[in-house]
Amino acid sequence: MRKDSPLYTILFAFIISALFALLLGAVNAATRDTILLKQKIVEEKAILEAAGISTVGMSDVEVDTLFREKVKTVEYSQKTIYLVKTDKGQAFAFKYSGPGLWGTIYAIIAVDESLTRLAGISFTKQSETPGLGGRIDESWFKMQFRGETIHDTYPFIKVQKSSRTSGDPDHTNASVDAITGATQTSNAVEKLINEGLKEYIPILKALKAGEMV
Amino acid sequence: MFLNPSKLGLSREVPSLKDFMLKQPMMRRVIIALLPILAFSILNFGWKVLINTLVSTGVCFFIEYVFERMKKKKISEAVFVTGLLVGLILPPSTPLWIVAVASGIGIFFGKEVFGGFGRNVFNPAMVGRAFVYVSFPLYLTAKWNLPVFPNGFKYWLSPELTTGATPLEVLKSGELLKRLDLFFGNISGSSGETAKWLIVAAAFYLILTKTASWKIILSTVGSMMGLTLILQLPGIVNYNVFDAVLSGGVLFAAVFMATDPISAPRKEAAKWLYGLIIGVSATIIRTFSLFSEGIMFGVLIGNTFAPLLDVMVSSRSGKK
Amino acid sequence: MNGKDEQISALFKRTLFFENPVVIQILGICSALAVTNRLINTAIMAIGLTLVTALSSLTISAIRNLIPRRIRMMVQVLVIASYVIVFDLILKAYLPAISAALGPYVGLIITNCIIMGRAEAYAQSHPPLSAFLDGLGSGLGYSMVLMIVAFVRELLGFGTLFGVKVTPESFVNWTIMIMAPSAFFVLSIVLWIFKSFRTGTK
Repeated sequence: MRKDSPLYTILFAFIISALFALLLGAVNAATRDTILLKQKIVEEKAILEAAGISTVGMSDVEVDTLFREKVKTVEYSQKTIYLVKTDKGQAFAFKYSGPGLWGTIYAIIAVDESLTRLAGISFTKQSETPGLGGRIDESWFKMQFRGETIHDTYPFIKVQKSSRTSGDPDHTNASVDAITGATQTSNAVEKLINEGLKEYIPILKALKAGEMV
Repeated sequence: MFLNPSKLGLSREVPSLKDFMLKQPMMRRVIIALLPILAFSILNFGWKVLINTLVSTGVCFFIEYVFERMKKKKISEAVFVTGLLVGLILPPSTPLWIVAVASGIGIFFGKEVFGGFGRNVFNPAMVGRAFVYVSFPLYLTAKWNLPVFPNGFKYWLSPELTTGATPLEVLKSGELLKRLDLFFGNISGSSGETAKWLIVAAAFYLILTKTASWKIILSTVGSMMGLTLILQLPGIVNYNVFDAVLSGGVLFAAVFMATDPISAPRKEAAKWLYGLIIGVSATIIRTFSLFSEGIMFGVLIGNTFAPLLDVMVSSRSGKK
Repeated sequence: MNGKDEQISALFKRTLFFENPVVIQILGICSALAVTNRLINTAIMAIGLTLVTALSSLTISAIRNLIPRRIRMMVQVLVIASYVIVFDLILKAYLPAISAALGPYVGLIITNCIIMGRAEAYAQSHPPLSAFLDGLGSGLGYSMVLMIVAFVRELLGFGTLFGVKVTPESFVNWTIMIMAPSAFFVLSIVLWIFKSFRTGTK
């Protein structure tokens, strides 16, 4: 068969495509479970972290076991709520996302049992400026939210400018320090948390009342 | 070619000033116009301002010297203008090493890489400032000093402003500023931009001596006021149109940077358009973006379009 | 044997230096700008690109006599894309954090002109082993430049090297070095140095 004939061309294209499709299929099949597990672990880690449970240094399997042991997922009024057992009782965690400076910020917000204090916050995905807005993922920033009082009215939590570099140590003033030089991202986080709380606190109250009964 | 010290001419006979300095009366007039502003700034914020300008001028001079010796050409007097400008458009409290970085980057990437004097696309001082502004926002946007005019000579650096808000941020948040304070420089800000009355006086001097183009100044300032007026209608901005140009570095940049004869267009008709581009982009950036100092990017954007505007204008008049 | 060794060293001299894909041919600039703010990300990206270039050159060269001319380009893209997807999947499975940091740029290796260029300019007309080495060399040339850029950017932008703090406490991070525009500055200086050395040695 001539190499330039249409039949050969079609045949060749067919065979080579089939070969590579086979290769890709095999690799995909071999890695799919691992990839799905990794993605699940990222989320599980974030939920545990938001509720104040450290997963530092744990292997994926350990995180997964811990998650199963501590967290109960419930569907309530069409929202997914994670009930996390902590040393201080129970925390309610939920996913919430909002616009950041460059892209959507995906966060897990956790509220403690009394619904008057935050348990904490963590971020599963954000694309803020590395080194500036990206610092929302640093622990000093996230630690500020741990146990922070939720104000009765909107805004529930304020993110305010400050000259401190280590974050707001006061956990009763319903306010945390913003990131210097990243005003827009700080505002975005403030909005994200407040909108999240506004939407979820009534639901959590209802859920809690329902649990009591 | 690459930084070969033997070719830099750093050795032996020191050439006399006339030998290696390009005489530029135009640039000298800009320097003269800047000196009172520098003096005021020292009296307003302290001696640190003088040190800032000395460092920036020194760094600019040194880098230009190295490059021009490599090409065996003369240093342009314009380098002192750039040096002075860099020193004056940074906040007084800027650490000296940042001043040096701004000058170095500005003169190197803004001027020398394009082939030195007369070939630069962008205003070197603005390039330097933009670089450090984005790099070190903490030092360039968060720390401001109290105006203490005329007692600045008693200070190394006037006390730091405690409230974080700069006039520009106050402007953004909608508070009314005292216009007289704005005009007479009784405000905090970058070293050289506060004394509007001196800048206006300098503008007249430069226009009368045909050093700066009044068209550029007028269209820059005018288009900023115009767009601010338009933005007022739907309530997007709520500050006075005069405050819009009196606050921040707008006037300083319009008079000293936008009019830089190298990076501005040469055709008269193009100058109107050029000022318009600067004014409009400055207003848009200051209103809608996260940067409060829009005029800096405005000038750089204007610079980008300057050669294109020249071509546009000349091809149109050629067709007639 | 001796003759062959010389050939290989000449080949690497060519791909790393005289015909370095990034600084001399100005190819693959997009990813050079995007992924060079941390050394670790850059290293993974560089490994990926080098492997993909070498393997696709090898594959294309091996089947070069079978490929009909008319669909030559399509076959090249098919081969390259397959290797890139394999690499992407492996990253996702075993280095998820780096995979997330590199974002779409791993997938964009497919469109990297270096690989296609080597396939078209070299692998099509050379035996598999030489094609493999040529691909490897070009990939290493790319990697070398990226690592230099990333070294400067991470050092100034974060004050770290491979995530390890190496600068004194008082060091102020140069934020612009973290952002893409700085890669233009750094890359252009690297380019300048390379070119002046090259003109110096020639």
